[in-house]
Amino acid sequence: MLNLPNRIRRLAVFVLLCVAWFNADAGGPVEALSAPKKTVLVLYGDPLSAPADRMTEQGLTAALSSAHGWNLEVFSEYLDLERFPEAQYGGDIVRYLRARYGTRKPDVLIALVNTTLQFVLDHRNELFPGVPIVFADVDHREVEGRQMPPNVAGLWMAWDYQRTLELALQLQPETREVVCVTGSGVEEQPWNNEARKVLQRFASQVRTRWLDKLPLQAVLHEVARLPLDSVVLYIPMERDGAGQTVSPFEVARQLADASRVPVYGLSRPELQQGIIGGALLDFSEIGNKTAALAFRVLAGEKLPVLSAPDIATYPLLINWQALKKWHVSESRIPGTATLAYRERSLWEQHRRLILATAATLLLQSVLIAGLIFQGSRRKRAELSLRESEQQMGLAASAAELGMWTWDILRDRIWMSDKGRALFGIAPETRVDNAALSARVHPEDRAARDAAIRHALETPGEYAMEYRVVHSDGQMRWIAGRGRVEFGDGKPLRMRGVSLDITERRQAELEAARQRNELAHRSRVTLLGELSGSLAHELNQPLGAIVTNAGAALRSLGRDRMTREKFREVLEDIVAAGQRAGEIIRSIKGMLRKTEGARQVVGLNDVIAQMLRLTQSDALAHDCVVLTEFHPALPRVEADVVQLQQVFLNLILNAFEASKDVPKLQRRVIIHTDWDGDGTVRACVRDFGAGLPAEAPERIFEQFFSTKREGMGMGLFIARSIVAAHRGTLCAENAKGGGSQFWLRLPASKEIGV
Amino acid sequence: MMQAHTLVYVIDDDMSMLKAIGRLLESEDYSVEMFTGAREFLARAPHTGPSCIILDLNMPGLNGLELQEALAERGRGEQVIFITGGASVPTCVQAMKAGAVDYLSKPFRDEDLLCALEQALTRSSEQWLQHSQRKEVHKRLATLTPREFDVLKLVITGKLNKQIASQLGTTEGTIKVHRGRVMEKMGVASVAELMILAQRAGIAPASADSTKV
Repeated sequence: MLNLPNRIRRLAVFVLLCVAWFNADAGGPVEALSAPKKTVLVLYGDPLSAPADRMTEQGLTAALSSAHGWNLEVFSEYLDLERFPEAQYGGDIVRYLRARYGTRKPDVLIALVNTTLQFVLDHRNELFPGVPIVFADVDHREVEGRQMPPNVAGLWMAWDYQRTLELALQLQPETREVVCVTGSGVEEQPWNNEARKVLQRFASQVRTRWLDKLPLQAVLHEVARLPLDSVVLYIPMERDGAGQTVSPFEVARQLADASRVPVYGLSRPELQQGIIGGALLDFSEIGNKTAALAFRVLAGEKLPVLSAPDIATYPLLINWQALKKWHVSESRIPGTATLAYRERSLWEQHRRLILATAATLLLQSVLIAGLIFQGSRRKRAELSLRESEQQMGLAASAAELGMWTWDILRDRIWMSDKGRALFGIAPETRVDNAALSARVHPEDRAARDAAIRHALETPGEYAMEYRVVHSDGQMRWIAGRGRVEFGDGKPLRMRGVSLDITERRQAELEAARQRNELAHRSRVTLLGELSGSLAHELNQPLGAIVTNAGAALRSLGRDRMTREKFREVLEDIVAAGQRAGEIIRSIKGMLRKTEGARQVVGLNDVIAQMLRLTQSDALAHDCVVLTEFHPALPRVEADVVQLQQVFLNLILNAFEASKDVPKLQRRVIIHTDWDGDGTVRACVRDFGAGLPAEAPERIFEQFFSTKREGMGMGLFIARSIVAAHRGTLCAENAKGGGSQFWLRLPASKEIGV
Repeated sequence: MMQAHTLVYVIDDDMSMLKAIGRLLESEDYSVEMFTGAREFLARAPHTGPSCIILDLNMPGLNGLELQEALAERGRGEQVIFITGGASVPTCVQAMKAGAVDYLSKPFRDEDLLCALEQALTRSSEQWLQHSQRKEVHKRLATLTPREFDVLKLVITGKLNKQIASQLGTTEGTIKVHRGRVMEKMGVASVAELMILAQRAGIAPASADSTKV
């Protein structure tokens, strides 16, 4: 109220109105012991709305759910008309709402956001005639110029430019220019007009410059070189000068980062983004007050169409770290302002440690006393438990572990500071499971929820690795481990730790990527070696096609072939064409880059496919290939292309190894079986010269090659592929000459041939 | 000499190729026999008449080149046309050196195959003709007594009965009888004809010394 004389009259009227409500409220909430049930329908904008809207929603939901003396049933709907403007003209939403709430007609409607209010007003008679409407988050000009039906009341959003500017001039009396950074959209227009009026009052002290027509990047460039006797006033931007939609809080952060001079803001969340401060609107308070309006409407009170939030109650907040960054003296801070994010003193920073140490000492004294005077073993046990807990706490913070305890019955989660940082949750905010779950990456959410459910249902441990997404879009990998504590067979609480494993996961992903890349390159080389045989393999069906077609053409000229014969020829042509296509497809498949995606496949099929591809190579090497396939082999989970590559490698190696023995002894035997349990095996055996006797395993080393043209990568990569499939690949000299390669893979749960 | 029946063999392990070639040749009225492997072919009794083998080079077991070699060892005169899916220069050279008529890469034009086949069959017919003639001459030669054979060898040198008689140490009259029997048995009317037959049978005229008794 300090600056009342400076305010415009209308604002004063609103303030008085607000005072009037609070006086009314002071009479006490309308108690209704056996209150009849009241239905509240809240109509929101879009479900993924800007953080500000979300905070309003949270404030509203919290206020509605903690209403004393009311028996409320609250429903929520997201109309999302901003993004689906066409919907407000169609009757679908109206029909939907009527179908849904026809039998439970709401006693009050709460509409948030301009478009929603507009919709409700337009369709009021079809929807819920006569039901009172309370609105918020609405541009007041929408309402002011308009004839409102009865029973419509609302709250508009106002920024406190006045006190924010006063704060700026108080902190920086040398200021000569206020640079207003804002957007150019329809949304910002009323705010900007309001700001112009207020700035007029400071015209004698400071100049005003508007950065509202520039693209965001240009604005950032501009604020980076402002003269030191200027300040920035940031009016929340929804759309930049280039018409690009932006996130207002994100812009606050970018501005604070880029600006050479302090940035003053108008809403509380901006403080966290690095602005220096201002008279800041807390969005959840808007939700709160909207709920208060709804209660008064439910109590039968008649309200004015438009109420203003009491901007005098917006706290004056200053970001201590921003103060330091922009070298603004702390001495000018007014007594009414609150300092946030102040760096804590040694005591503040290490209070826990100091307390813990002191407590440990104290408890040790107690222990000694207890031992001496009472000899109580129970106490000793308790003490060492507590001690170990403290030590664990210290160890946890040293190991960067976030600790947490979830009170399952009340759904409250206590988290250490490190734990909060992992999830990107501000200190002091209340945390429940839903809040954590909301931060989990959508793709991992179901799995994490399932892991928690599993831990709660089957008394046990919770262990899970998942991604979290911070509000700034940053993604981190978290490993969570926990244990459920039960009482009377019911889960009471879960304690656990979380660890940031992003770097490890990234390293793993990078390693997998490199392995896939290397495997691909080696596959290309392998197919290059095979290209002669592949040409042969293709020429075979092509030859059949051409010759068949030639025969048919010749017969056609002389009309000598029966229709039956003709059909046979054409069918053979089709079959040969398909065979050629199949060969090309499998080559193409092998040349494809894969990302290691697994599917369930039969080992026999994979081998058979590779044998078809290498048929000509077998001929060229005069090798006879024999197969001994297990008829009911369990399938395996594998990247098919990479598994094909492993067998292609083994098969070609076997052919190559056969070179040195007489033709009639050149055989390759491929055998598959399984141990009846969890492991499937395949063996590729040749009758060649065998492995180097002194070190058979050397063949799996990088750059080891017996072939003159070989790069020595084949088996090295084959083994790393198999290892990535949780299998093994090893080699030995076979009895009776030659070598055999054993590949073992875990069987998939699915049984099949 | 009667015209013998000509036959074309096709040997390819690829069934679809084998059938296609069979169809092409039958549409051109050739008699065709097909085999999916070289060993099956070798198990068959050789054909008596002009013949040609259309032979796939790359086959399991005995491959094309090896079959060609095996035929040569057995003294069989079938003409060979090689067909192959992947041609390499060294195998091509080896095949042609071993007497192949042609070497075709799949897919080939049917005219090319038919043209090569005609050439092969012409060559085979000529060969067959020579072969059968030689066989006939040998058959007739086999009916001669050793004395008659000696006389024949001297007759084709162009000697007179008197000279032959003196060389063999007998009378001119005896030689005259022998000579008449030789001409009759060999089915010729003149010394010139006899000389041609002898040449076809590869009988060298006797030299003055070697026939001296």
